[in-house]
Amino acid sequence: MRSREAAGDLFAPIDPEFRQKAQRLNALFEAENVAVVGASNNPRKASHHVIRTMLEEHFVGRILPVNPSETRVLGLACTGSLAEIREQVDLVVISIPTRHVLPVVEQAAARGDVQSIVILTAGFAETAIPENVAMEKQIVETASAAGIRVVGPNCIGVINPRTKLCTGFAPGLTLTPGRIGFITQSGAFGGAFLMACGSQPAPMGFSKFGHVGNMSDVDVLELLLYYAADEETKAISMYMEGVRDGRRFLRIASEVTRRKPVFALKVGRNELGSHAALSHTGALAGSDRIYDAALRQVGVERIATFDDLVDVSKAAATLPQPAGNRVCVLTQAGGPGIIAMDEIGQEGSLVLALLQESTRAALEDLLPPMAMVCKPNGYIDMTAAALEDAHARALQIVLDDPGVDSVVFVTLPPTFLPAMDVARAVAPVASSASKPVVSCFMHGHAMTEARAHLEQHGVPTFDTPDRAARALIHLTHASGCPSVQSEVINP
Amino acid sequence: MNHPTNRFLPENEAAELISTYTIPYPDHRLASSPDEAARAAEAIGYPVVLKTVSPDVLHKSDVGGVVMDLQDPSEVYYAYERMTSGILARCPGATVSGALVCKQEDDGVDVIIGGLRDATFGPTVMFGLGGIFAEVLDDVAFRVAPVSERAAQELIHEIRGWKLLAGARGTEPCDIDGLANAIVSVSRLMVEHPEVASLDLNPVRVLRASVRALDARIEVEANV
Repeated sequence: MRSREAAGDLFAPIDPEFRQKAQRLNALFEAENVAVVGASNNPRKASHHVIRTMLEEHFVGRILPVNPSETRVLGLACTGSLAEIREQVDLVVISIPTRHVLPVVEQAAARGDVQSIVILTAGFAETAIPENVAMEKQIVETASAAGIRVVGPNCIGVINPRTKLCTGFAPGLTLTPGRIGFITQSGAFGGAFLMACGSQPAPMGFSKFGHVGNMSDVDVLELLLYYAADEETKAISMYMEGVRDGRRFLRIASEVTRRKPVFALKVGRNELGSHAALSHTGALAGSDRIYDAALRQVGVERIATFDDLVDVSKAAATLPQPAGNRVCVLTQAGGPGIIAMDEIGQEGSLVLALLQESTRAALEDLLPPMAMVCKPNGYIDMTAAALEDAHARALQIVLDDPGVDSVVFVTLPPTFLPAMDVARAVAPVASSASKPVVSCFMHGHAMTEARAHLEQHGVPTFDTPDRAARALIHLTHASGCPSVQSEVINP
Repeated sequence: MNHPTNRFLPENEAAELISTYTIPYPDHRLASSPDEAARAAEAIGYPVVLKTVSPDVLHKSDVGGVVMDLQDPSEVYYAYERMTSGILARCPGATVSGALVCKQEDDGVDVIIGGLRDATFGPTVMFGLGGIFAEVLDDVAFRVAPVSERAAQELIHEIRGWKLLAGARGTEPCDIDGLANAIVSVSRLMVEHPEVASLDLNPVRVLRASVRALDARIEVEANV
């Protein structure tokens, strides 16, 4: 008989040594002196853009280009090798052909001051070619012996928007500080996610970003644990293809979700997707249904699409967590309001809030006579006759009802009601609420300015009522709040 | 996850293993002759079910290895004879070491509790409605083991057909607490017995005040 595993191993405490290791990732994210090996003036090279982005974003530390065939890169003095750098080096970013990487790692190890290495170069273990696999192993062994942590290879590395440290090279990055910690197993997805963040009505920030590629040393779980303790990170969003050790992942995730919400877009939902994922990262697909159950078991909220991950990240970054699952839908437009109701009803975990008699009376007093107040209870159609003041006051009234845990707020300001006026009236009410308000100003370019105003004031907005409702549903699940069962709807 | 070198425990050993985890199995005795089978049935009480015990027969009912509704000693005696000779005719060279005489349980709601080892998450339990519901509707749900009592309750409520257990259309509610206990026990068994590659309790009959695993198939790794 093989030895028995302990019955409680799934939720056993995390190895303290691993926890300390994760905390020391601070040295990576807070690196001040960054050497870029393979620094280039050629804009068709990734390393060119690593330096360029940090320069343009005004990285608070020092960038030290290394390339024997350049004297200056993007205006910065360039040295021939790591050994020649006189200043202290905290972090070495490597972007040179595969076969030259190991000697550079050896040089970094010999310096004695380097704490972390990010290897952007691909062509290592992911190729499954034995000599490349061996080379990656040797890189990690060399680095570890010198106490250096390795991110990658085959990655875009890390971003800290506060210091403007950025080893990534996605176009149009805006390094806006925010509250979402992002972890990705795909550099391209990660880059696209950050581009989507930057393309919101008001650029949406993030606290930390990590793409760890082949995970030769620093892995996804370590980032997860580091973000859990990071005070700037309010919630964590992940793009996941698979984990090597499922039980270790669950053990760590179950601790992290007790501290902050974790959202995961886990791909490979069916046979087609999981085969593609297998050829991408070589991650063992495992059964998606078991992944689904496992994520739920440890409180990781699973997200189905790119847009939903952006939406829920925006919601979680700014909104307070709901205390329960009782939602009020407050709309100024019938059709769009019903779309939100359909989404809530279809998913089934949120219930309509049963408003108090006094709330109902206050709304009837305030709103135009044709308004539909609580038909059904918890749903209010203010109608297009409601002006900006009615929007703001109605929102305040429903927020004040103790039976309401969250609000879906939908409006389609007509030509006679400037959207900006509605945004200005609603923003202070929504942003000061202790309950989450998800807003949808319909639709398109005509609403961009109003939505930007709301988002600049901490009120997240969403493209459609169903997306707003879905973001709230995910946020509610991840908050782990108690839920009440649906009651009979009064006609 | 069937591995060519794995083997299945004989039904009586499987029943014994789950019994040590307080998963109820019907009152049963092992018989190696028609006489012994008839005497066992007398001791257990009628009706009884006769199940063949053979390391060479995996799907018993496919080869006539399960006979139900036996009401007296002579029915049991002749059923044993017919069943054994029938199996030897259908599966030439098979070893039939005997038959298990089991108390036949009343009708109830049939469910499946399974245990498996997922490549990523290790020991995992599966729960679903039995029979046609499992096959046609694929109405099953999973949890990585170990499963707490609360998680087992959630698991039961996760399948679409759980209302059948809660007493749909005027039928009496089933022993859901007993069922949750059985799920917790299967999860413990999977964690504590790494040599068990898979486990299939199908069906598990859930009655108003009891739960019984009517069939237990346990696959063990051959080299342990």
